[in-house]
Amino acid sequence: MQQINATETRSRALEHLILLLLGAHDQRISILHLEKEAFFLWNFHPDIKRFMKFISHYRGPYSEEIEQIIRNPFNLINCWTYIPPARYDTLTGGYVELTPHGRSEYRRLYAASSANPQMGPILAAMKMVRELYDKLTPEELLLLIYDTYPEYQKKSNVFDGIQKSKKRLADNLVKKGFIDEDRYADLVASN
Amino acid sequence: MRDAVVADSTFYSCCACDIERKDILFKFLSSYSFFLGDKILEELPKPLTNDKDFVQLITAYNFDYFQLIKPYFGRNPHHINDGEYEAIGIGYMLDAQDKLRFLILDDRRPNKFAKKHFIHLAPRVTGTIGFVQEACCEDHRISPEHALEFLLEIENALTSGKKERPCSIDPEICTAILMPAIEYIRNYHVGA
Repeated sequence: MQQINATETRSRALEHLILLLLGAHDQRISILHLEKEAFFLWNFHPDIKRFMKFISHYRGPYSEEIEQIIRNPFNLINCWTYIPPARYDTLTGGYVELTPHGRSEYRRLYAASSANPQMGPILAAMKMVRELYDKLTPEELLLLIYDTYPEYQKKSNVFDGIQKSKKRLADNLVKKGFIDEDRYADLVASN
Repeated sequence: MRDAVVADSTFYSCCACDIERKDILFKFLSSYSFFLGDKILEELPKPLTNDKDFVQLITAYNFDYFQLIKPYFGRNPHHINDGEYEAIGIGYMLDAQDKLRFLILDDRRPNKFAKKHFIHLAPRVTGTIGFVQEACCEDHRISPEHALEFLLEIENALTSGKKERPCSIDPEICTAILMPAIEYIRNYHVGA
């Protein structure tokens, strides 16, 4: 019984974390972006490590828990909508966006969380990763992910495709001013 | 009211090591709320971090902010312990809480990164010299005498050859930024 309660508590907490991350920037987000941004938070804050695990995957670090919660939330019902990927979209994993009810729940949860000083760094970090990474295309995000976390990559057609396009993608990142010449050189030189 | 300041290690080392004027540093620390992280603390000289007055005047956070921006810099272990990126993270958090007044980043790479990626943060990003000028002439938290004393000490350390690059300032930056700031504060002082 105690174990069931602990699992439920963990699941509820993770759903709340996902809701806070979804609401941190009021626009839909790809599953690819959501998972990677959750991964950065997982690396950032020790408390978040308790709620999810990441394994290697053909699209970089992957969390089964996030996938499950997005498709089948147990506690936060009707807070977000999952939009499956388009037919030829092999990168994003689909999209998720908050419903009006979800936005209202987000505001309530954000207000409650803001009152807790321990949540301050996590709430700010969520806004930070949404601001930093939402603006990248799926290909640009994957290029940075594959290069930064080789231990989480699995060889695949997607990986090969990004490798073949890496110069073009790195050029784009420089043109947009997102990376500097040092990072460009790293990306283009890497295998 | 925004009165929080986050600075990378250059700012602290400038006062404590380059010009060896801990008293000036403490004047700054008493005038604003200073926040920093463990990585920056590790970069600072032990006599400073062991100083009880210093510890009382700062607030320290211990989170790995570099993890949030790591993909933009890659796996290069050279950056893992860079306090500048920690300063950006703490600055971002304080800005989100409407507390941040200044984010002092003297190194060009993190300074450019912060301004490019976080447009709302850009007006708060400055270097040590810009901070001193604004603390004096905009916020009136530092007297013109103290501001000038600090900047002239830096100039002196550079021109006397005592330090090669005090506060990361070379002769070029001295001409382009330091001397105009000294001139500005002098004129402000006379005008006031």
